[in-house]
Amino acid sequence: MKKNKVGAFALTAAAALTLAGCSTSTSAASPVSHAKRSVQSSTPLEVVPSPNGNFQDNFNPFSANANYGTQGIIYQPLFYFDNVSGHTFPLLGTTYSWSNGNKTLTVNIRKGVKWSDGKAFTANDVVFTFNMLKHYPAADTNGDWTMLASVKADGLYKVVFQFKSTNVPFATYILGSAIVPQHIWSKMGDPTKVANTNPVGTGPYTLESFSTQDYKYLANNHYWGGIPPVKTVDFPAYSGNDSADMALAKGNIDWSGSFIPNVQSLFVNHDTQHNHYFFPPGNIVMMYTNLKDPLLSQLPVRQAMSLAINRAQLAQEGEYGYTKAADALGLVLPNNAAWIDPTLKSKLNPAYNPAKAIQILEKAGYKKNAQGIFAKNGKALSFTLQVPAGWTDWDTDCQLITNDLQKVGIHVTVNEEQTGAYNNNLSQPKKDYQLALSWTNPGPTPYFLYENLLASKGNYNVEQLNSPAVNAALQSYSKTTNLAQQKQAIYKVENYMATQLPSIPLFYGPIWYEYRTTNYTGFPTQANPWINPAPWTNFAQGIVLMHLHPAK
Amino acid sequence: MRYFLNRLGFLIVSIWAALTLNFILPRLMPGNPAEIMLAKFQGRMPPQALHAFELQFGFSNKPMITQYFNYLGSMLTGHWGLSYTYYPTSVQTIISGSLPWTLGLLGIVWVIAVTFGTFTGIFIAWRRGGFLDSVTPIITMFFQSIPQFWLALVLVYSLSFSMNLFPMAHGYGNSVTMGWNFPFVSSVVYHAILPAVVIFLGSVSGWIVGMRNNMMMTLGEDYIVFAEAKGVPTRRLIFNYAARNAMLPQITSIAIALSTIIGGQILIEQVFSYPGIGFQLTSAVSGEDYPLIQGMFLIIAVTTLLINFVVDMIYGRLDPRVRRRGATS
Repeated sequence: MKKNKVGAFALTAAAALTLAGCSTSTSAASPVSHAKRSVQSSTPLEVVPSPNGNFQDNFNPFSANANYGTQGIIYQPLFYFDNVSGHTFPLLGTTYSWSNGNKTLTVNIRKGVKWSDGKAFTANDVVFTFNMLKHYPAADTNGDWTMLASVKADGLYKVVFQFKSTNVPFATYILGSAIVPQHIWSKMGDPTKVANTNPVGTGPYTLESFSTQDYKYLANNHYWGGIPPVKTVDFPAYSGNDSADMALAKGNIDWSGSFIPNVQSLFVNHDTQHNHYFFPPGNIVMMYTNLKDPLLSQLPVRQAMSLAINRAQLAQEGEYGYTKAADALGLVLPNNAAWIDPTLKSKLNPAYNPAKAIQILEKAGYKKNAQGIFAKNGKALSFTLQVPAGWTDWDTDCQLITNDLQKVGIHVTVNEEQTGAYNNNLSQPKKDYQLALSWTNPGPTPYFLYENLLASKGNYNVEQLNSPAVNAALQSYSKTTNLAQQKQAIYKVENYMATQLPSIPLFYGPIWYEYRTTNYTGFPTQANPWINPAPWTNFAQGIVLMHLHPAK
Repeated sequence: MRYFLNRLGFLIVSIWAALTLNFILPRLMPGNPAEIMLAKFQGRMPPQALHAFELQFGFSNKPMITQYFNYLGSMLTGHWGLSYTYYPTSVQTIISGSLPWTLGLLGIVWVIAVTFGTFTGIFIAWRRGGFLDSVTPIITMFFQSIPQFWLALVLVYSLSFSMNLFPMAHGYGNSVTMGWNFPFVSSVVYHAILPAVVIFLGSVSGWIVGMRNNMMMTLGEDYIVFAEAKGVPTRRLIFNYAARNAMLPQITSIAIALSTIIGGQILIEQVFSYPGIGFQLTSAVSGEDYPLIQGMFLIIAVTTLLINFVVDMIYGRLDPRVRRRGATS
């Protein structure tokens, strides 16, 4: 049995990497214990996570459409696992440990926590929440009960999760599920059908007022983490990028997660001292290659494509220079920097070499036909590339890719599809596409992106890879809490990504994040990205709020 | 009476047709709302959430015909269901929270534009060839030909962002409480000025030019010349003799124009972050949110049809020939 110790209030480096079982400490994070501070400013903090129509009165943590802050500012999970920093933040839990061949997960619950209506929070609330999710699978958006066998309380401050089979990384989802009070939700009925307009949580704020145009959170001065430094957090609705961007430029918004073209001139230059932004990588945008396609299943074809695409140009022209070319290993860097296989360092950056692409195709027996397109046995390298219509940056990327591939003798036709049709083509069991631009599903360690993307039962295995070697490596990762073993498993997958190109990583999908330090400071910065900084990030936003302080 | 029943019958058949189209069209779109919901998060939501979404939305596998009759029944009884994109908020809540803003703004500006345009048209046609007659149509036409959302952006940028004369966004200020109190009402009016100006400038030209041309035609008629020769007072000549007849085609276009204005309104609302129906309507369509699409289009269709019905009634009042099936010919 391996015991993971986690500090009580402050985020510690040990906590940061408990899930990975890592013992190396990172120096990037130097957060302050928020219990120490008691300075509270009454200047409201204006937050616009992203353009949104009228708000609906919905603060149900089991609804994907709940208003921003429901998960994190009002309701909290046991732990929050951050995708950007890889850190673990203990919230309603303090420590957890594995036993019984990593099939039993025991969590120690924080003492002295109260619901915002004054009732005490205990292990019974945790057990109640999970049993409710079991009873109403429609509310179980994390899919917790696909892996859980039972959840039991051991006294008031300990909860024991019994897994059906060993799956250590899956604990991220379970420990990251929002907990609700038994004394209220036991009378609610089906939790997916309630709007929960008067939410009672454990988080740093309560709901002060709601209208379809604006809602406000008020500091919960009995919060277990101390007195929140911001008294009122205000969420105004902006229904278009234009009006949100103008309000941001005008200085009406303190914290935003919306996309701005030309962020430097439209936002920063209006007040260079206080207006800041940074766009950490959130996931990898891939060009998926359908491996059931007779031509795309050939490695030389995929290799040639990868060599022919000028990723730097995609990032610069298609993505406004807001992001960088992705690495060849399928890692999100620098977020996953601790996981790079030292022997693969030379293969980290995908090469751009059209001449070599042509060589590879010729070596594989392809010859240019009359139209200048490479062909073998009468089959020309001519493909369709699907992309959702109206996702303008991706549409531009697709044009650039088409030009790049045309230059080496691969013909691509871009199909801009309605989002519905596009999703359907990519996600149905019998996939209807050849090439497609799409996202990946990242997590606090590279395992999550890999598992969804590459495992033959992965949830987003769009390219339809079925590799026993990759499956085995991911399995071995999920069975162990030993970091060294986990790293070995990840290295194998990195190697597979680099040499077999099951799909082609293009660039990192950025997380939009702009902030203004006129009224409050303490936001995550580019120099210290200790947490996912976007205000729409569930659970992270509540932690960021507790780290702000009134500007002097 | 017979005319009334005739029109009423037409109203009912049109509403049924609108309802049926409303049922069929969203179902012809590929994909399903749960997948689109997940796609909206682009990897920020665990992919296993798809299963939960599908359970939440409770997709029906009943035969289409059963679904159709259930749908007709629930539309008539007002049980429009829960929206998918705003799950679990009910369709009624969403519509009742946003539609009054759209209809309020649109309705008032529309009445002003029609009235102002019609009277201006009458006036400049009477003084045809005058200064106003040569200038007004050109100036208003200029504004109407500018894309409205662009005009909106220009106004927001110049008057609100740079000169601070008007609020940049929203339907009312954040410091007022909703209700029938003076601060709220005045805040609503203040916030509505710029969007109203945009909608007004975007539609008034049609009314002016339309009315002017009709007036010109009518003023050339023999009976006008006769009335003028007979010594009918100018005011009576303009309004009772000429305008009453010239207005008929104008009234027909009122109802037709309404549906096109709603389309333009969506973009204008987004520029001003106005709390109307616009954003919900576009996100409902892109999210394949059948219940919300059905609810919203039902309201729009029924409103348009009802206005048509009312216009038909007014038309009958103004032109007795319509009531008596061409009695004069």
